[in-house]
Amino acid sequence: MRSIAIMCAVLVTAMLTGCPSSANRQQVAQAVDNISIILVGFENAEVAAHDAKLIPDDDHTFIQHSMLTLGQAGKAADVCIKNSATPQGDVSCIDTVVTTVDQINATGGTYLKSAKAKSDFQIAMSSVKTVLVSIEAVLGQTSVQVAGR
Amino acid sequence: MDPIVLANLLAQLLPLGIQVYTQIQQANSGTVKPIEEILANADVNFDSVIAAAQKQLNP
Repeated sequence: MRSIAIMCAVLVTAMLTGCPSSANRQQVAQAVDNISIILVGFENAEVAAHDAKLIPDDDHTFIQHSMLTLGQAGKAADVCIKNSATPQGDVSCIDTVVTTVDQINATGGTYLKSAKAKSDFQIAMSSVKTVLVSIEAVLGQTSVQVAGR
Repeated sequence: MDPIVLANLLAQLLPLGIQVYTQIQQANSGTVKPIEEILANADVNFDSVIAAAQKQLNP
């Protein structure tokens, strides 16, 4: 599962650097799409790991609740970006997801008992956050608060 | 790692790699999708995650 998260992060980074001429708002949309791809990959891998008894039941339940929250946050970001007319508005939409990721990651750090579950989960969350903060940097709207995270 | 688990993970990773590769190709060829289409694709993926998580939580 760790390898999947790392490979996803590498692929996403490659893709972001492969389209420098795209309009900023398209990059924002693409970043959200990339996050959705990371989440799908992590979800499938986590379920497979749990089925293989590599992730304890309690940790699996916590992670699934987190994935549910992140999926819903992603859909909310989709709607927010569709309705946003400015890069500043896009940054606001992304900031909401960053906050959600930070909260989930912090909670997971204290809740998850399995070292493997904790490590894999935090890598996946870091991958998602890297995409979000990167696109904010591309937009040139990164706030001090976000940059300091 | 168990070979079965590894094979399962690779089988799941392949479609994701193809999807990202397609996006790179589109970006490099200048045929970038409209924002609405990109977000719609993301929406499908988020729906997939939500459905999978709900299935795990309420089998």
